Amino acid sequence: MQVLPELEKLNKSVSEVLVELENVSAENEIADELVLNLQKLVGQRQLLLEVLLTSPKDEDRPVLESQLALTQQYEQQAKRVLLHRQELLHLGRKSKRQINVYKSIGAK
Amino acid sequence: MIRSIESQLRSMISSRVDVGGESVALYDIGIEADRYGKLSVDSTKLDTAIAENMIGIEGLFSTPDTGLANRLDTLVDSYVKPVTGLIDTRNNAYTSDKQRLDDQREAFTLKMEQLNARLMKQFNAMDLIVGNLNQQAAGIVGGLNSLPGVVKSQS
Repeated sequence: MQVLPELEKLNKSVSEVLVELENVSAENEIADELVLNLQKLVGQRQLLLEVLLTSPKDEDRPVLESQLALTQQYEQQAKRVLLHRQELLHLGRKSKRQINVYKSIGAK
Repeated sequence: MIRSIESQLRSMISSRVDVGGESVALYDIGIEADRYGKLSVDSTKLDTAIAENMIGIEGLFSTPDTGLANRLDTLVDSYVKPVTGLIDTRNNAYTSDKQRLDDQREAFTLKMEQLNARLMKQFNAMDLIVGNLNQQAAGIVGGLNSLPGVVKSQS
């Protein structure tokens, strides 16, 4: 369980980045950095969880359950951000179509 | 612009011109405009005017500044004169507006493409993150299921 303090620290960072990502505008360049940072943190979390799950004992159950709840919460938050980006991309495609219409009108 | 031309022409054809102290109008020589502005000629009246008042007819059209032909020339000039004429001025303003809009549209398109690329990058990264978190949850569930004392369901 030596990884636990490190995992808790990492979880705190993941939580903070996710909250910030939900609050910052996607157009803001900070969002690019936050996403990359989150990707790195989630990768590191994966490694720590693998250590935690190498040979789990019964007394590890509360820790694992707590990590599961946190993971599911992170996943929900991440999905919200993902969905938001998807909506923006959809809007972007719509605007592009509109611009092309204007372009074709202008060319006439 | 068309309405303005119409109105100015109407005013011009109905105006009187002073020719050597005598006031002459198109009406006096048999040329009239109906309520739509269409001109018609009363040949008898025109023939009489030509026979009796040629100087008046000449002055009606060619008196400097106030003669109808001179006024028409000035009016037409104000529209068609290169660069300073109203048509050219409007045309130049339109071309410049169009160019400005084209530039703005190009700049906006470029900005949109750049933003789109960044959003796509964010979307792909978030998709991977969601996948990784899902994998982590599955791993933990697997770990919990492997703990001693957990009875696996026989389904």
